Amino acid sequence: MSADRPLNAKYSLDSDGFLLDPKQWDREYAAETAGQVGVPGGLTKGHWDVIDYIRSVYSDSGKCPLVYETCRVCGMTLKDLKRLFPAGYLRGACRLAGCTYREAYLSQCSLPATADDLNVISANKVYKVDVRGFLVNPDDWDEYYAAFRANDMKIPGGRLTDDHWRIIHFLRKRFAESGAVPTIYETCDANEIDLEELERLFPDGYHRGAVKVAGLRVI
Amino acid sequence: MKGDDIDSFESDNKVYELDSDGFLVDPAKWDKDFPVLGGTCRLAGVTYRNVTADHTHCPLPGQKGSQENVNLIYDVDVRRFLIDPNQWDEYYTVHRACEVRLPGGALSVKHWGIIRFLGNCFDDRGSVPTVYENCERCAIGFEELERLFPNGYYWGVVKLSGRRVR
Repeated sequence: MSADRPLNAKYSLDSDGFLLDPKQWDREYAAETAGQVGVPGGLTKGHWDVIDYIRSVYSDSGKCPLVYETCRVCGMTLKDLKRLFPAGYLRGACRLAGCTYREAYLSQCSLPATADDLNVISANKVYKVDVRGFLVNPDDWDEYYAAFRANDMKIPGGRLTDDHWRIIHFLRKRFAESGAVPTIYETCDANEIDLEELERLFPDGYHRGAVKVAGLRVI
Repeated sequence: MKGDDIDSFESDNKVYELDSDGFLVDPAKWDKDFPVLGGTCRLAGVTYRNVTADHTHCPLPGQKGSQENVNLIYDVDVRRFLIDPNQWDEYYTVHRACEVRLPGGALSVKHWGIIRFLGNCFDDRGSVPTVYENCERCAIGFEELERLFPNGYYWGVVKLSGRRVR
């Protein structure tokens, strides 16, 4: 990085100094940021092993690897990681790698993920949910919400497919038309799927799976 | 039968407490004489509402998990991290744990120890403790943390604690 340009002139950063767009990441960013996360002496091979692993997982899957996985693959204990990144896994290693859990799972949305979009997603849009995690106001729903919600549920395959979206959009359309969530019978019939297929798509169930991801609730 | 008008139903000298949609409030009150019209779960007196709160090592007020906490509302971000930590309560954690299918199906004393340490730290200093500090202070090994919270430290512990880092 050119020495006369501050970090925030070259990179889009949030108020905590995290890179907003993982695509902007380069090795200079990591090197220049290291001092801010308690790594004053420059990045060593151990640091780069961790950073490169996080980047490779993000590049392949769109996900930030869990701390367990990173330690295992890099052959480190938690103490080793602490010695390298004393500010923490997220606030140290992931920050230098330019992606955190916050950026993860965007790739499954099939939605735009430019820096501006990331800003929108990060802008603290508020979703009101009940204690069981159902969206209170169906109008608050958006596709990002569905994608992240599906991730919580460990949807098989790790991402919403066209088959999932077909059910989700059917539910929302029927709800908009009638003000009521269609029964499971109606949903299966209209989409020409059987119960086994619905279970494969939404193993958490009809209400706790499909209806919840669609931002609706029955009671 | 119009759900909005119902708050109890008397049949054969028995009184059933119903919610505004005509669903039985307490599944324990169900018996075979329960006469409410509707779908299968409604007839059985049990729905997706009537889960989780009994299956925890945390004493919850009004623990039956049916009607008492149904009106609790939380503000979350798109990743469903709680925005305002002051909204956090044990119900929130119990239900999130159920949603993410915590191993063993219930929060153990160890889960609560880790969750409460994180919450207390956050309340004291305004920031989430690192995974290092949490493991050390709670005397939890890294492998055990993974077994307890396989979703990770942030998606698991931090989220269930009703806090967030950024």
